[in-house]
Amino acid sequence: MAAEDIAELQRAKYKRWSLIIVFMVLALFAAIIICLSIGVVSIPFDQVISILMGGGSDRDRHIIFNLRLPRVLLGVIVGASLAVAGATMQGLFRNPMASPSVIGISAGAAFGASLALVLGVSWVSGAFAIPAMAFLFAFITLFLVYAVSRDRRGYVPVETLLLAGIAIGALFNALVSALQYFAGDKLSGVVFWLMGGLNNATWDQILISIPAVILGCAVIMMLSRDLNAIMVGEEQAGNLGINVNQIRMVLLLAASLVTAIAVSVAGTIGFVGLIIPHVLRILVGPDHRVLLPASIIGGALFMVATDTLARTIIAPAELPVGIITSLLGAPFFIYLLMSRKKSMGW
Amino acid sequence: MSKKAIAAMLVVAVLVVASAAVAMIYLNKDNASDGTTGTISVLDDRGKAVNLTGAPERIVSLGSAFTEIIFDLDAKDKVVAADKSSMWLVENTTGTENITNLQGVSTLSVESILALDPDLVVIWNFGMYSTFITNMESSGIPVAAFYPKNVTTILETIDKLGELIGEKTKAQAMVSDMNARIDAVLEKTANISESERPKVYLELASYGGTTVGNGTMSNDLIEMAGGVNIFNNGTKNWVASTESIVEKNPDIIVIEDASTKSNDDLKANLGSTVAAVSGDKIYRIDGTTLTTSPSVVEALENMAKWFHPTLFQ
Repeated sequence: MAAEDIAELQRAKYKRWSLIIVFMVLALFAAIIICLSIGVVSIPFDQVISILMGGGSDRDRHIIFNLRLPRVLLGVIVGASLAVAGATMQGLFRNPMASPSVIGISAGAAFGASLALVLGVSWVSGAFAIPAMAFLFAFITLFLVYAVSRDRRGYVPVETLLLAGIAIGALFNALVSALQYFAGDKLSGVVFWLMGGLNNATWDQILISIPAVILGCAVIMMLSRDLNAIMVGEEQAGNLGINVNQIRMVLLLAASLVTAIAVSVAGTIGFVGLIIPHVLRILVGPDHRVLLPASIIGGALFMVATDTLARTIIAPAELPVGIITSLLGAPFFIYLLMSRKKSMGW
Repeated sequence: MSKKAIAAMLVVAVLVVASAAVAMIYLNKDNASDGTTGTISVLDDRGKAVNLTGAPERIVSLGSAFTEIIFDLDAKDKVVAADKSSMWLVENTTGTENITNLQGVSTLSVESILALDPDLVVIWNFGMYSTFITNMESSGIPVAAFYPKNVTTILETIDKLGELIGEKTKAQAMVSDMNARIDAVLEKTANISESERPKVYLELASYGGTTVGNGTMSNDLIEMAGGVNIFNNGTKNWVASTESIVEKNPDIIVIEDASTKSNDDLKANLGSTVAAVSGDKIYRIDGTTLTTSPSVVEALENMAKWFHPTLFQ
């Protein structure tokens, strides 16, 4: 094939990718506006538009700006974080069943949050203690997993990392069960926190999470090419001049950062990090330069949609959003396993 | 595009988003209107003054103990919604068809509460609810948070909550009635010596059968009823091993009625060397009376009858 033909195909490919991303971003904006007008308190769509323009009654403005908007935006942040972390983990471990929780940091975060709930920690302030402890323990877990799996030269083999993650994740899950047993009257709080939810979203949470999430997503996206190479194989990547160990550490750190933030503010919401990258891989292909941004937007869309479902399906009561994502995710996971058996390749 | 350019753009993006978010908050945040003086003002268990302009007509009760108090004060028509734990009471009371079931408190959002247009929300003063409580109050919803832990504080809660819902007189009457019933038991049991108190083993229904230690309300009830808890050397709740129960040889066993263990199961498990088994002194107690709610006096009276049948008819 002539060089110009290849260049031509490449340009077409980049153009296609750009169109996809632009389309997805527009879809996300539309979804946000639509979900803002759905809720227990009925506010008609045209009212919502007028509120966004600056009008509307005080009560409706309060509901849209202080209750629904932070919740929807938090859904965007959490969905995007979990999906991009999932895609990164699947690439790093070259394993389609990897998810953000595979190295145990979700379990660590759950333990931190449960500890805060059970101890009634209020040294920071009741509201911040839980996410702060969750975040702290997520990183303690990451550190432990790294310390356990590194060899003397500081090199971390991927298989060891995975096993260490499973083991330490199991340890923290056991500790959470122990806490649940001793929690007494604080028990139900631990259980519901573990199921995950966006129902108490506040602007504070968004302010705190946005910079770190943007940073994490940016770092991951900048390393898309390297992730492509690593997915082919570590030796091959090394031959291309990539310092695999270092890139892996950076990607792991960035993915853990966004996952820790997501879990700290919203609890453990399962399957988002697992399913979304796969769905998008089918739609846009496995090249991380398009897959990662698509996962970010796709994850955000998915989370906003499922959370809207969670808060309207049994209104005025609410379903924990983790239940909906798991009910959608588990059958999909089974489907994935079965199609993998047919060696579809991914 | 070079990586530095991308990085620079991202830094700018972060700053833009952050400042936009801050701007949005300050432009659109509604200030909570508190400090309005009302005709009803009661301090809840946070030490915060809950101010109402009048007796509430649309109460949301997020705790079965509170729902029970409100129902006992004849104010069930004022309750518009209750949490899952209150539903056993709502379903067993007539005239409560319109009370919405809000399921678990941890899953609720402020919007769900706003949709009910309440003029009072009563909730447990747990740490994990603190964000939810703050968010509700920022939305202008009056919230009262209580945390009764034993018989004394339950009486205080009845008093405060009663005043809050505009039934101060009824609440005070209820409290003095409960005090009278408690005193009627205490005057007969307070001076019973250790050796004359039956040894009691109490088993709850949760986790396959936990017992209660020192400092729990159930332990206090056993003491007040003239018994002695065989496990008062421990604290909080745990599952006691069959061996330790047999070793302590209780005279009386009180088991929560909701437990899946039948009396025969207990007898078979513990064996006839235990006094409670050979004397067939196993009593089942309604679990809803063992909560920090007005029915706790019922539990006390039942236990007093079982422990000292000659003193209490």
